[in-house]
Amino acid sequence: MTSFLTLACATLICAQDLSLATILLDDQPWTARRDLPIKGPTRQVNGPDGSTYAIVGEGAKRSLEHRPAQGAPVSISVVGLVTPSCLALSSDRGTLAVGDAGGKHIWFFRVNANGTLDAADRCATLRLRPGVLASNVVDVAYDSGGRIFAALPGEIHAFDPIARACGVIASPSAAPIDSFQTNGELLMVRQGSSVMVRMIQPYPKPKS
Amino acid sequence: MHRFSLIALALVTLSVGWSSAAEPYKHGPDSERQPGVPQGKVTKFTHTSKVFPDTVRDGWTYVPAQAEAGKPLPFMVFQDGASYMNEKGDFRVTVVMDNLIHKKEIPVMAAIFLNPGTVPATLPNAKPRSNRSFEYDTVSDQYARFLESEIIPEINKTIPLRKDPASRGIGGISSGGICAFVVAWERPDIFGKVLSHVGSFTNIRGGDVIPGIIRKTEKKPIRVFLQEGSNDLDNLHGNWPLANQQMAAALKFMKYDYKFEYGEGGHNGKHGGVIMPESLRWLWRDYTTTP
Repeated sequence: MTSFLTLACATLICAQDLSLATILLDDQPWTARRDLPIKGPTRQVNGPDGSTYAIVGEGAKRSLEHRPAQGAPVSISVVGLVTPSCLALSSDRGTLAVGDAGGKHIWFFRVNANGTLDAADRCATLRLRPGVLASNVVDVAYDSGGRIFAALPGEIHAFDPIARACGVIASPSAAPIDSFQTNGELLMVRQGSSVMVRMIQPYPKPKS
Repeated sequence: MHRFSLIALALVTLSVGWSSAAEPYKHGPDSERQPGVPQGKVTKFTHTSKVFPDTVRDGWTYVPAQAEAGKPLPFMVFQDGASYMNEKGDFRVTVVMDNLIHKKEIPVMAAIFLNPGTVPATLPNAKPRSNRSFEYDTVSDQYARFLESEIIPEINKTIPLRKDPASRGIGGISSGGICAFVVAWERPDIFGKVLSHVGSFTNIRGGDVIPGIIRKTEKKPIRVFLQEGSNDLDNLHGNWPLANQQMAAALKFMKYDYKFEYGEGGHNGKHGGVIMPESLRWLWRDYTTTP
């Protein structure tokens, strides 16, 4: 175990480079896709043991709720998490990412085997303009490689699998983003009735 | 969040950062076990944090053979503790401390080696969540609070530790380096010495602003040893050699007690490890205790 941790630490020290150039493709701009219905924003995801996690309420009164398979829903309250607005579950279902529209962070919760949540912390910091305290983040998504994307009304923030900011991706247009999804190869954005997609580089890179 | 597989870890580690065979740094005798030098005692512990909720980490304490029972010890904390403690690794801190304490070139002092926290997974196929970047790269007092409220009181139950900041140092590599500086910067009342190896004073989580803040803040009572290499990283977060030169220039401008060792290494511990003995001698020079 010690050797593993030593190795892991060493690698994390070295693995510093996941820039936008490793995510975006130069010759792949945003394009319209009428055949792709994008729902969302993601306000409900299914967890283990029949659990569901949901954003309930509207506006500043939104809150995070755990709905176990049996029993009453449980409101999840964490000091510092102001206005939970969107959710994403990691591909291994072990981490729940929660966007905070009233704050500056994407929070991460551990998902327990019985569906309960704990170990919450504000691991991913959104880059806001000076003086701006509320991100108004509208959607958040994981890809299968663990990259995390957070859509704000006017841009998309990308994070590496250990929640370090990779950069900010420009919105397709000036219209506010209403929802966002990714499958690891496409960024998909809905702005009103318009759906725009942009091809990205998969992560990790497929073996050639 | 996800972590790489063990195989990927090994491959990346071997192929990218930890291999710099061309670097001209070789350990000296103070980094090797010497006959007749008493060895300190290393004790492992595991800690579950509240400041970093539910994170678990391994840690080790080092107490020199010369320690007197009941007498509070000066000490240093090292981030990425397993790497710093590894007797065959770059830093070999316990070996160096044994040798330098024996020669009376540094005080009889303890060390605390801390690995970064992880949130253990509870689902069968889920991966643990590494908290290293959040803990080390965040420019705030959170890691100082973690040390002050959790680690030091816990260690102090079995190893009496000195409370004056001049008797307390903190060191680390890369993100652990900026972490060390930020701890002392935020809380110079509890840590007075900093040892940074290839410190990430770059924009991983906003640490690139630190040189500017140093220049516009009244000088704090901290002593800083910086090590950096000209072949260090230049990536999306910033340029490590330039960032460390900015740090050194800011510390010089504000007349800090600092030393900047600028070599030709990359983003690794080879240079910093080889100069560990002189780094500790410099940090702890003129050290005297007051009862």
